[in-house]
Amino acid sequence: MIRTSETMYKYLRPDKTFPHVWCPGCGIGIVMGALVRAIEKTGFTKDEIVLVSGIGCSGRMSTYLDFNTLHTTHGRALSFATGIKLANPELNIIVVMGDGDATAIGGNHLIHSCRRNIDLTALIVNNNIYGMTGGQYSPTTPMEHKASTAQYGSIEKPFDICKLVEACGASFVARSTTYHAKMLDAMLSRAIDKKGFSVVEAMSQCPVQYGRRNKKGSPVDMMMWYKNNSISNPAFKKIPPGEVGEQFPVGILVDIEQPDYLERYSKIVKKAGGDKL
Amino acid sequence: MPTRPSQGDVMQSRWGTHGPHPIIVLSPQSVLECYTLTIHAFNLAEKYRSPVIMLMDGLVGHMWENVQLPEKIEVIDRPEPSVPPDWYNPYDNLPGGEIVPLVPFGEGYRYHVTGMVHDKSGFPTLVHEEVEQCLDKLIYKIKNNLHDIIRIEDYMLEDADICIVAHGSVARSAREAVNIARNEGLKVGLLRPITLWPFPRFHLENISKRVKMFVVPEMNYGQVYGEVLKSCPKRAVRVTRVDGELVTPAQIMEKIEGAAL
Repeated sequence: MIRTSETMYKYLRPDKTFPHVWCPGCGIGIVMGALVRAIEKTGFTKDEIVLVSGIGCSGRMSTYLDFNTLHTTHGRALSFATGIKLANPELNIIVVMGDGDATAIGGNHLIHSCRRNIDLTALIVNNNIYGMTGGQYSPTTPMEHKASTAQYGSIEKPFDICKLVEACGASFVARSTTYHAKMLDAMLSRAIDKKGFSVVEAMSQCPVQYGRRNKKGSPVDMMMWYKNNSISNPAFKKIPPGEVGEQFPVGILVDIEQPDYLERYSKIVKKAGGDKL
Repeated sequence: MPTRPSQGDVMQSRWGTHGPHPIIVLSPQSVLECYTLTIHAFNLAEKYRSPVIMLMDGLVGHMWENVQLPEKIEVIDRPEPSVPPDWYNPYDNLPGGEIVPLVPFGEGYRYHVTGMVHDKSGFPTLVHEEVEQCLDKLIYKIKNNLHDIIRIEDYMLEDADICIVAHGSVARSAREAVNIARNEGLKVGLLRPITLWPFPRFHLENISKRVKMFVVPEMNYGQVYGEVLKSCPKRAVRVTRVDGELVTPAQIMEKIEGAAL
């Protein structure tokens, strides 16, 4: 018998929000499971966590989980989260976005949140497509891959989310996949504990909108593809440029200490004669 | 036209987002009002759980002038919830349309907020009865409180035959036009909507019973003019200017003098 004391059920909302919107074989449920286990590990209570999400398949995560939850407009999750953090720096804010949400519509918010190094945790679920809205190509759809708006294959160079946020100044950057669920747990709990802006990219299969169009096989095949093509960052660095192919690095890619936005902001408040944020 | 004044966004501020929804829009005419109405905007937002837009034309936004700040400022703090967390639902329908205060995140009152149309528990819904209920609630919380939300200013309207309707920086020219007209013996007055939306149509209806016509100067092709026509069947003329220059008192006077009463 499944008991509500089991980790996952402790954090799910038992209301009418179920059944969920995710398709059979979708990876977002695995990512949500990892997030819940990571939060459980950090020991924060439900009241201390704010879960902010954007629009799209991954944006629905905030609906199902029993925290302070905010389901914002498309691309603006980081802006809402920044406002909440400034209003109450004590809160631990986790921002769940999809690849379209984070790097297209909200692309500017993402790069400036990195630059500010504001103490938020961004979980970017990257399924390489706009799933919910009908399989349009996103900034992370690989070149020559098909989408409903790229019938003959995308001609745009995709973003490498981790490289992008690293270049913009994020304090913690990590990548994992739905195949590496345990690694995802560990990275998320590290990211939540990390002071400063942290980004975890969770590669997640979309068998319906992305996989089907690009002949990627079953959800299991797609997860096996993650297994076969992911390598640790040190090993990845040893591959000579030009021989990389489809391989990508997983693991913690950046972990640096630097003053975060609120630390600098409270110094300014003091300088201006105030005593608190 | 960057940096040049215009009032082309009257309708944009009202209808610039998806769906049927209410909005409160305030239009200041001076530097002092930019200050006092910003505070008022926050008060309204707290009271009605609604976004409030401060709609400034380029002139008001860029202006410098001396101000005397008011000694007392009314600040409406968000009310505390009257029930414990287990009983709390920010989307409750309270009798009399009372608005449930939104408790800040982190105080033990966990709930869900969405930008989508939602049901009584705050989660997105596509059930048509629930959709209608949600939208009705948003509309009626503003509609039922028009007397509290709408602010207007009138100037020499008591005995006026002609009523100028002007907001923002144009209202300053309009006020001067009223002074000039009065010197010439013309009975002219000014109605200035401080709250642009919801539009003060009941005020206009009342005034229309006393005056013979309306003159509506604005820095667009007649967005407020259209609302004046909608509000009452009286004759109305517009004074429009869209070239980035201000509407002058002389321009308004021209229309007033040209109007055969």
